[in-house]
Amino acid sequence: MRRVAIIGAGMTDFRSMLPMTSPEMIRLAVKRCLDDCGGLSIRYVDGVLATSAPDAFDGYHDKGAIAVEAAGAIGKPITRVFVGGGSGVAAGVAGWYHVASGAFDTLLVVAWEKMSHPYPHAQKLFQTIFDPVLEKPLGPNLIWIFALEMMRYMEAHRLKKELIAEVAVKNKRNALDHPYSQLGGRITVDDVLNSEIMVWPVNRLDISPTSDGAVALLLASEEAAKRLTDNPVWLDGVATCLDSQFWTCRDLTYPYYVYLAAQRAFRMAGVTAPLKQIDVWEPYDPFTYKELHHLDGLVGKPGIAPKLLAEGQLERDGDCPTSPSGGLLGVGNPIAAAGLMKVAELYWQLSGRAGKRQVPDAEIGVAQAWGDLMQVGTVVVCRR
Amino acid sequence: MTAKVLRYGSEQLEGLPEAFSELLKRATDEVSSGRESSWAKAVSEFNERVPDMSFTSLLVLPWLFDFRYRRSTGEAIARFLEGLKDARIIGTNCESCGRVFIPPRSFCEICFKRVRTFIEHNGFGEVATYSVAHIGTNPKEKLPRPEVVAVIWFEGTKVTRPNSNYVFHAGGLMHRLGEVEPSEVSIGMRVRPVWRSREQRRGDITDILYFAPVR
Repeated sequence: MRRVAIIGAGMTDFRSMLPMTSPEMIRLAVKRCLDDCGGLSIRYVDGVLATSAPDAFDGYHDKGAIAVEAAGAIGKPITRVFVGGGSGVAAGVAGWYHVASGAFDTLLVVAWEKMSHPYPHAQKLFQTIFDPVLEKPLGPNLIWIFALEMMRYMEAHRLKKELIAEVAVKNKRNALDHPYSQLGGRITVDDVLNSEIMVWPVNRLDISPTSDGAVALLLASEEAAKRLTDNPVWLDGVATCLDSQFWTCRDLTYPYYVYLAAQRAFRMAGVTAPLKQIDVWEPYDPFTYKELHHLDGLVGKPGIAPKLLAEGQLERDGDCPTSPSGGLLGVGNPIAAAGLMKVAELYWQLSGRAGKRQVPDAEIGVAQAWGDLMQVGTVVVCRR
Repeated sequence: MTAKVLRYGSEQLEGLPEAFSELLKRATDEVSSGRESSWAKAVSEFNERVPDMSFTSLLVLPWLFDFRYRRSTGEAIARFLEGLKDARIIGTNCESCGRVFIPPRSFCEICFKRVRTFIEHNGFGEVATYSVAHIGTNPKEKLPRPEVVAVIWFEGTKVTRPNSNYVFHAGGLMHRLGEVEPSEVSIGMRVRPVWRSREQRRGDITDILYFAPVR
């Protein structure tokens, strides 16, 4: 296997109702990515790895094809991967497969989501993920099942809602420094607790906003990277792991599948003591509790994340800076694009170009996403 | 299909999501109901609220998909649904690893073998976790009163990891809780199914009205 580098990244604003079509968003992200590589011509790109969440968001079947023109893929191969919310980071994993195998020297990885098409709200489409016989007749909402997981997690570690709300405060504040963010802001724990109750224990401000947006990364083999950039970030560990679809038949206390994926990715990247070695963490945070739940899995110690949070270690200047980008809670959650935004953040952090968000001397970072029916963990480890 | 030209400035959208979403909503309503004049009014109101916009065009096309399905449940779920009609909880049992599947499955994903042994469970279980739903499928509509939603694990089906409380497998269903106030619910609470009357049962998951605490 060959070593794989990330040599450029670009993204659009994350906004609700961006005044662009999906192909226009993709093209803008790709253009910014190529500009980031010193104005590299699209002709030097060998292939495209595309990802986006359910076709239903665009109301267009086989919407992977939407990226063909917009990512400059005419006359080239294009592959689409999809594992629900885990898709953005899964695209990084699958991109690694393409380049490490020797099949591609350069590969564009693009992720997009246009969640403002469905009317009146994208939530209605999430109904299609529930079992039509056993669950749909109950009139469920996606937030129901996350509230169930959150309650189980809170109960297992005796967590207070006040503590978990700190994640929203931190991530929205971090997002103020992100040039493309949707919901950066200074809020308080009380703001979270007093926001509308959706499905207790989930309040409105525990939830990341639906959004439109696109992200593009350029991957390159070691040889191509040396030719094209002086500042590569190495994609040294990748893994995906799934648990059972029967989510009512397993414990939601701990994301064991995230733990297994992280262990595999760490082994590949030579990370033996994650808490000591990793400088930047981008765990998936579609909901406040999820950042903690996933950090538990990444570190491999159930219940450690809330302790680190209480000690202030998850802040940008703490020992375990978590979602320095602002995460999904602050930057926004255009599903597949949000996951790839986390990988892009590692690229910006580790190449020293994260601006006001910069974690000093960051050398190793991990990004993770999660999805399908609370059952997939996708993890990438990057190194300067 | 009808279309309507909606004008707004692409650079100035920032900071306007609310005004814009309002306009989009009215646009779609007006277009689908053909009320052109009130659409024009919505646009002029929008223009007043946001006077400094330079305009470009955007087309909003409302459309609707109507997909219908006739779904095979498979034998295992078919027998489960038949059981519900008789107020019985049916599962299957993997004779290789001993796990009980409720709802029933036709193969064991770990042993990777066919599962053929059907069992009947008495329906008693525990609350694995719960939440209090203020919304149903449409997040913009509040439920008339909050409902307790829970995962129920059926008694005697739990398998934990060695030397741990972590539940590796249990027969479990998502359903509502009833005859209990949200503040009284706790994880581990013992519950039983409450059924619709015989005449009302149709072989549907809602044949169980809810699970109620065993007091």
